[in-house]
Amino acid sequence: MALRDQIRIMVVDDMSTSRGLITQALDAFGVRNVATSSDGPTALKTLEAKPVHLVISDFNMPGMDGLQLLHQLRSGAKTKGVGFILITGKADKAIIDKGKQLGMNNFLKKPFEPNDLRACIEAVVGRL
Amino acid sequence: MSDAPAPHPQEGPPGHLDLPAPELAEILAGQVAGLRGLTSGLEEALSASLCTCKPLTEDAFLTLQRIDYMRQALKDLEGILQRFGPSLDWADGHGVTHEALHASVDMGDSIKPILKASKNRSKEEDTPTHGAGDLDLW
Repeated sequence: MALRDQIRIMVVDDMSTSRGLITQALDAFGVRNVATSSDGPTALKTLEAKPVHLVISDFNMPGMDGLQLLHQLRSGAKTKGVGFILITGKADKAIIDKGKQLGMNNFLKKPFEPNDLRACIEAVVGRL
Repeated sequence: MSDAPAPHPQEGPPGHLDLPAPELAEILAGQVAGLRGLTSGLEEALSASLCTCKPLTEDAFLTLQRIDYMRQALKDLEGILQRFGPSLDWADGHGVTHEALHASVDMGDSIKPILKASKNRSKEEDTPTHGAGDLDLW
């Protein structure tokens, strides 16, 4: 069984278009087991109840940003081992450094093409 | 002869809007906020039409991500206008004239709120603040 058939991914982004685009790209890669969330707190609740293998999260979200979500995930017993990819419009060194410090596995700068997303995911979890 | 440059035909006292710079910045911030709202609506409408059954071209995939960028940029512009607008002021002898304002835009709607604010301000200033029987000792 290919990894793409087993992997569970959650996409967290406050913008429905971004969630839709990533979901569509994942579908094109053959990844069907995808959950979405529009904010960090809701994502955390869902992930505690039903963990996934990989979280793909936007950085710039109201309330809880992507790095705060990552921090919470790394603090939770059930979620500390989840893979984490940060998507950001501004790949500032400070953001990336903080992300690495918190245990971010990879990041992707917007705008990106579907192949960039695929490469970014495969660098974390292996060949889909 | 004066060393001062000749006034631009669209500048000078006649036809000046009665509008302080901070008020203009506040109006522009409001307009930017309105555009941000429109962008969010557009984004929602587009996301509803996204479907895994009909994958997007790479160009469309990239362009749709730029809508999010536009929304965030508008939010930032609104923030800048709100933060720094109150400390703005016109240089002496300068301001906005009706002519220059009209010449700077393509759509009348873009300057409608500015003209309205200027008109309201002029009206307020023309309205006497004392009734006929009031004594003004100073």
